[in-house]
Amino acid sequence: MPNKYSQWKEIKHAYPKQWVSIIEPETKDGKGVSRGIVIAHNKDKNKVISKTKSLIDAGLKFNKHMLAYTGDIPYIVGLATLEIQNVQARTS
Amino acid sequence: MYKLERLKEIFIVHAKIPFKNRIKEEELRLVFDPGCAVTLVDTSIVDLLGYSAQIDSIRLSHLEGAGGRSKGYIIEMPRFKSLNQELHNFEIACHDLDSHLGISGLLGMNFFKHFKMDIDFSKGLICSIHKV
Repeated sequence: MPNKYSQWKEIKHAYPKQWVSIIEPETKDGKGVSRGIVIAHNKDKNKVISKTKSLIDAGLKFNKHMLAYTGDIPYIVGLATLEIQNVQARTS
Repeated sequence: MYKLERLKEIFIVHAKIPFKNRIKEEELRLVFDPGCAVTLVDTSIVDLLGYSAQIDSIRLSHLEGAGGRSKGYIIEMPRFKSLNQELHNFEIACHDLDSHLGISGLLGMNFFKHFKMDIDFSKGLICSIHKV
């Protein structure tokens, strides 16, 4: 199991503008992630998730996981609608 | 008190949801968004935790915005923690989010409606939060 903790500043520097999969992340109110153990990284979020899933399926042990982006986020404005509909009952 | 993380004129909050049938948790980075009716989480993350539309969805959803229309689904989280508070059987909408957004989702009004809060937006500080 990977066990090397990295500081968030180091992670951002090592994997700029990438999605990183982190186990045992430690966070601080108002500051976000402070450190964690990086188990996968890529610019493509789906590749990071796929790699993470394969590690979990292979028996990776951890208590907490987090997916984080090391780049800047864009200005987000919210204008969308959500329509919800019932699903048919399932038979189990 | 809870200090919010400020990024580009929005606030980011952390939330925790469980992996399906496990104790381990996923920590989410969500936009603090009382303008959003329902809490929304990226489908790819929810899939990673072992949930699926086929087995776990209780309703279907269609999200329509500037980027077009996308299909998603609603699932019930056995526990949902954020802002040092915990809710049970909490509904989240699962939709694919653009990778470039850099976030895991939005914390919406279906969470906030359970609480009375005193917020200082100038300091990014939740001075008090109580369940109602």
